[in-house]
Amino acid sequence: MVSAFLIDAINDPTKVVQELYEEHTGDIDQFPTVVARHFSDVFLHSDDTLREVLPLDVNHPPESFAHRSLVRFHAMVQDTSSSPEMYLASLNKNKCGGWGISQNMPASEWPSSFDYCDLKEATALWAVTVPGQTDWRTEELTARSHCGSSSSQSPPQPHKYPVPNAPHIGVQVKIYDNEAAQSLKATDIVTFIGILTSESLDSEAVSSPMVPSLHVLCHKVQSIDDASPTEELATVRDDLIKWISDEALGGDEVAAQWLVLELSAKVSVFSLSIKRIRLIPDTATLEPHPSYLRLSLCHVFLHPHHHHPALPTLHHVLSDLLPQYLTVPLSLDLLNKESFSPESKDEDLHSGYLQVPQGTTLLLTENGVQEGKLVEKGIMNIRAVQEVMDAQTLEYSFPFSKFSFPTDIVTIVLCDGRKSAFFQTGFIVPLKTKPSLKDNLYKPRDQIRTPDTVKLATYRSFLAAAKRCFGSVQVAEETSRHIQEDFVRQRQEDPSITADDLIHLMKVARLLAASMLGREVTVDIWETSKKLDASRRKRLP
Amino acid sequence: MSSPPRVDFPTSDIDDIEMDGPPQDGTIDQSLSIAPPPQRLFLPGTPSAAGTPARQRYANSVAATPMSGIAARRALGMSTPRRAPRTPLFAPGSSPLAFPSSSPAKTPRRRVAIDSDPAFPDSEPLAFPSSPAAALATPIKNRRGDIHSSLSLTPTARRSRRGDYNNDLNDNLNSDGTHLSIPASSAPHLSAPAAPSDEPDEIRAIWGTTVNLAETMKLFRDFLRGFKPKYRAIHDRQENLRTRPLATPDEGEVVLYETYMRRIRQTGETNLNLDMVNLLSYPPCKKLFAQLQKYPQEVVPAMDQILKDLMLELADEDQQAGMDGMQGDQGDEEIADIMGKVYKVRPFGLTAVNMRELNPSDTDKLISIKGLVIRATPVIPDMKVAFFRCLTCSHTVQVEIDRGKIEEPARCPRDVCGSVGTMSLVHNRCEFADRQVIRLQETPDAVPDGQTPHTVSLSVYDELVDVCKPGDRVVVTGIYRSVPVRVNPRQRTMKSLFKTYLDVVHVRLSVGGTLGLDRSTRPAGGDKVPGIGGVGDSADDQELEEQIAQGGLTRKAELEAKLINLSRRHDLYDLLARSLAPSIWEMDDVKKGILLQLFGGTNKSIARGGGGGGPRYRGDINVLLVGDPGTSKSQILQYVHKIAPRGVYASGKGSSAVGLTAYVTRDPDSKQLVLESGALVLSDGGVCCIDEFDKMSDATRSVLHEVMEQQTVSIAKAGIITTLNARTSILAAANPVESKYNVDLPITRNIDLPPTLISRFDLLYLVLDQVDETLDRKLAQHLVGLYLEDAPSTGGYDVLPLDELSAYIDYARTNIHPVLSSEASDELVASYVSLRSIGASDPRSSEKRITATTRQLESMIRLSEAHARMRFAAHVELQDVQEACRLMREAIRTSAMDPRTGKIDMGLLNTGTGVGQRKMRDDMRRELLTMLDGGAGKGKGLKWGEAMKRLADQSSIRVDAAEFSEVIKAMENEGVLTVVGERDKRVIRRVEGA
Repeated sequence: MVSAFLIDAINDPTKVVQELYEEHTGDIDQFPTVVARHFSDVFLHSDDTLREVLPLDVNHPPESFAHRSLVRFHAMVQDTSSSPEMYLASLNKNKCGGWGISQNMPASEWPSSFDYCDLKEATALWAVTVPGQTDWRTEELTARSHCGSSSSQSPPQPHKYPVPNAPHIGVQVKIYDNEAAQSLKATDIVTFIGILTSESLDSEAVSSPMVPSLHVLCHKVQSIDDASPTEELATVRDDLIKWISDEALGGDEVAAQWLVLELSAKVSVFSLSIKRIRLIPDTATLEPHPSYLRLSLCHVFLHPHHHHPALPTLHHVLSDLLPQYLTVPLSLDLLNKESFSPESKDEDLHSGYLQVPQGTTLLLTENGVQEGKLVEKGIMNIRAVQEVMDAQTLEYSFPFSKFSFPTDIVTIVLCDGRKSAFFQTGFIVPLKTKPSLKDNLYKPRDQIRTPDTVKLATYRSFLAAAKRCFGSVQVAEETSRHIQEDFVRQRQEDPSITADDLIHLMKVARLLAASMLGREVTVDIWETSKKLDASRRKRLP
Repeated sequence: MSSPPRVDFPTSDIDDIEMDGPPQDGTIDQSLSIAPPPQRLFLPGTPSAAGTPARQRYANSVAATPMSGIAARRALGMSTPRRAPRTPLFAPGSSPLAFPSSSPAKTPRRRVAIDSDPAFPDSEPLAFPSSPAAALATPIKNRRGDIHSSLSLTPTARRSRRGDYNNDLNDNLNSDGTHLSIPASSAPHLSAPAAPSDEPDEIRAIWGTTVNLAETMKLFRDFLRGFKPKYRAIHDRQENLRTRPLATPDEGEVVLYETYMRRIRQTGETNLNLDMVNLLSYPPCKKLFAQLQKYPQEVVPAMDQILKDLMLELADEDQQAGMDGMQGDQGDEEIADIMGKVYKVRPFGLTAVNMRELNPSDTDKLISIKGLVIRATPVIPDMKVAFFRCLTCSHTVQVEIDRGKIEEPARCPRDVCGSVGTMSLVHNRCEFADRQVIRLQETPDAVPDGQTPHTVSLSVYDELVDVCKPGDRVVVTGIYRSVPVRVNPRQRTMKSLFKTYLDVVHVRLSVGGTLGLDRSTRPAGGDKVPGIGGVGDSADDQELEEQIAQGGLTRKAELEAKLINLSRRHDLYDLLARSLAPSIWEMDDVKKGILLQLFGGTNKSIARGGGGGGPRYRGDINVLLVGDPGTSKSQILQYVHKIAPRGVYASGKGSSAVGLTAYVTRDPDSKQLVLESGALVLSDGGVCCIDEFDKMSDATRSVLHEVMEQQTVSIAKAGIITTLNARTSILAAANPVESKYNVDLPITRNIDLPPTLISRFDLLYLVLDQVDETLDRKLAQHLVGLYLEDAPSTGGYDVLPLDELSAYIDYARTNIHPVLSSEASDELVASYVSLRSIGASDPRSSEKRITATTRQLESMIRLSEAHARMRFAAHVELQDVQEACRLMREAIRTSAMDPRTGKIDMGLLNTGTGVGQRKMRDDMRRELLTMLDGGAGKGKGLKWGEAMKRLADQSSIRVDAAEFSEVIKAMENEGVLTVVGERDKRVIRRVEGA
């Protein structure tokens, strides 16, 4: 059923706002909330209604829309530092002033007198296409297959998109419902529905570029947990491991297993509560533990003499599995020139590779690195990546101050040689390819045997389920005693075992439990993870 | 100019007319219509009111109203009699002057009557009803930049702002609508604001409110004349704030602001800082507080006026009373001086809000915000009054700034000329004021989690320019403005958008939540806010602050009492050490060392030395932690970085020498070369934490030599040669060479750092990971506990919260400067001697060992000072020295233990070789010589490998190849032997005759 409200709102949102304004006249303070509620009721309650609104994305760039048409924009909040905008909420003749309605009106239409009480604020922020959003996810969100005219025009403010030279949309978003807007944070993924216009970026500057602007009617922050049945997924694990190993890892199932473990990781709620206390990061614990394995997969002298400019097959496989995934093809040039962490220059927050939404997976490939010199910027970039790996925080540089932002990024490093050239990874898994499948590490996408869509969908929901499970995995009392005894005994046998080893092993055990979609680390799982780790260690040269 | 011209009234006397009642608008119009065709060059320099053209237009548009009729009659009536006397007197005086209009009075309206119309001597009293002094004061007062409105005393300002949006009146400076709707027009106020008592029955209300300005002025007068500190004390008591007890009852009875005003007179200051809480605590003035907050634009100029009046009154009284320095002519001079000055009241003391909380309803109100200055423009000359001249007839016009804009007259206002677009700006006749635009960013503590910080623009004027520099944390008080944005400055179209900024009236430099910087490193008064003196409010100005008894102080007093209480605790030392990084387990001595580092010794300089107070001896304590990976060294560093004053954290791996010291870059704005400070310079007066110290490149580390002893960084780059101060304590962490500490090797072999650098650290701690079952179990429990449901308990005993610890340290660093007592110095001497003689007095060997050097003595002094400081003690006592020695011994014992002898040996740290090692080398050398002198090798020499093998056979311990080559090298240098050949074929030969 398509309601009349819906059609009205899609056809002429401005008129709907004006009508609402007339209905609720006299209550300007609450009006933005009224608008937000009205449009949320119309659009946000089900996916179907949401999909009625035309999406704004790379295939449907702002130029392809008529002025002031209603669009939805699935985006990442990149920068919340722009000052709020003040606008005149009430114009002559009972006209509503917000939502860009009064833009550029001739002065003759201005109210001859106005009350300062009619001035209201709108939150302004910059939003970009979700970086690293994979194609299947985009399609799922768009649910429209008709291909719009893909414009070759370069988007405005390209420095505000994390991935340099990638096609994207960047939009100035104006939210009139301030209370709701206050909770939006940098790197949040939000679906905005609003009226698309084009305005100058900085209303105060004389010559500032025109950028697309979205006057938001209502918005919704993407929530991570949508519960789906987990039971029938339990068997998927083995299939998935098999598929990944055959297609992308040269038949190495151990490596594939580690990969799946890493993919199930996220910053767990528990360490959240410890880590995210400002100023006193370590009042409660010895050390904040991001629950990442910091995995690096090493092809030990696999192709010692020639470099692969092409993307590894793993890239294609992962982009078929994960909703947000980004490959960073490391090279000296990239490290020295591009920035990885966001930096504010001239009060404009420039983005960097690492400014990605929570839950994104980064694949760092080192096979493009040649000999050469790493300059200071490169060193800082490497440090930023290491910081994300170790502490899951990313520093945004502002003049005279640095702000540490929590991240939730899974990092996988792909390197030739014994270990990563740049990064201290927690776990190194040397690849052992089967001779028959040796060449499949770099095979192009069309040679991958992709399972049917249903199967692929179960793989995806399995990984999502494992991630969800991870947050709630606990260690039972009995197991914890077992682990303690184990540690003391091992240390007496081999003094080189340190607390770090214990921490690492604990992580593995919890991830293993999660990837089995279990809720608890049992003694069995502890022993299995020890075996798993031992088999990995055996491969280390 | 000789022909008797027909006079018309292009510049008819506005004041004059207004005082008579009807608006002047019609006048000009009328005179135009009745005047015969204008004569050419009649009045070359006739001044005109700025708003003339608008008036004309306005008059035309309202021609039908009854008002215009009245105006017309008036104009007629006026014009007739005046024409006659002017004619003969006219010509001679005015012509030689190019711009005759400029000299006497600045306000355009009033200028009219004077020099260009010498025929009107009788009209002058009308134009200037008030005293000359007042007239002089008025234009100056109007220039106050921060208040921004030239007509601020009157409702005009508000009205004219509204007029901006009215298309018809758009370029009208002083909208005539004002005069129509409010009969008590603005002009009288302007002409006589200095003497409010002259017109006591006049109603001067702030437009749109019931606030009576005359009453407000009276209130403020009462306040300045009546406020006494006792009122503040009562107020603070009511608010449950702790007050500083008044020393004597008399102290509470001083009329505070009269004291201040006298001081202003004596110091020649012009600014009075007004703590608004004082207004609130003076019972009759409660209303004034709210008025000032709501209508600063009107109230502040009124206050300025009262201040000036009172300054004069007070000076007069003092002269009458024959006060010192105010007798006779001297007093007259003072009074004349005061008359010529512009006095400004600078209110402050409002509760600072977050800049996110500013909203449109705060527009034009007085608010206070905190923030970090990120950018400041150079001084911008801000045009206050523009001077235009008509290119055709040389008629000149002055236009005042209004709401940040100057409207260029579209046409020559002189009716006889009336040319369009001929008015050109004459720059050197305009008036300018200093202005600076500052961008203020939210401080990290104010930004909500996960958001990026906002910024806001500030406009500062006159004395406040250049008070704050980028990087400063400030609290500013100012008027919040919102101004509509035009799409294009040349178009009339507006957006419904407004830009917002703050016109700053008061700036206060502040320090953040963490420790302040070490004030002893700053020049006295260097950071003080200039131009604000007289009534000090800057945080440095302790003495004045006490007098003013402001809120900050009372809270401070409360904190102070708490801290002093804390300092009396017997377990203070342990408590503080425990509170430092409470999550990190054990390592008590390391924590104590770092704690003392945070307190620091006192900086000493020898006053009689060379220029600038002579050399300075560092009081900063440097600490090095060396240890196995995973022993939470980095965490300690991070923690210190968080609480330390000006803490800077750098990782050795990520820093280059450039990043640590300073580098020269080009400023993107000004394209000039500027020095940008690196970590060390930035942490001047604070603590610089360097992680991964061992992984630093040699070039970078070499910089540290200079920093750690001389405490400066020298730069010679791109034409900039300078020495920057880097008076910083260094807390460094390093890993042993093979990442795990090898207990079999001496420490210098474990740490890959040059001994010269190591010796610069006062304390060197080895943090080793030892296998111990109980410890392991505890550790495992702790770690596994992290994953259990209940949060782990960390000790559970009481620890100080971070901010209190930080406040404690800050207080101690600022206020406590302990000196050595004689008892303590004796103890120091004794400890030093005993430390030095540990090796020498060992009965088992006669070898002489260096156990401590003067560097260690200095370290001990610093540590004992720091310990005394921690106790809030004025003198360094025995116990301080004892604890310092204990810490030193602890640190030395673990770090300077010679693994072969088990003895403390500072030589290990200072020269890289220990006594045991040296003894071994001596033995080796002796054996080698005997081998060469006697036996088969004689004459032919000995093969390298064989020599080593033979030595190894003789010795009970393994002969180290490196040691061996060191010995050979040393002997070669002495000229005892020579080495011939390369690599394996090397042959050692005895030099004959040596």
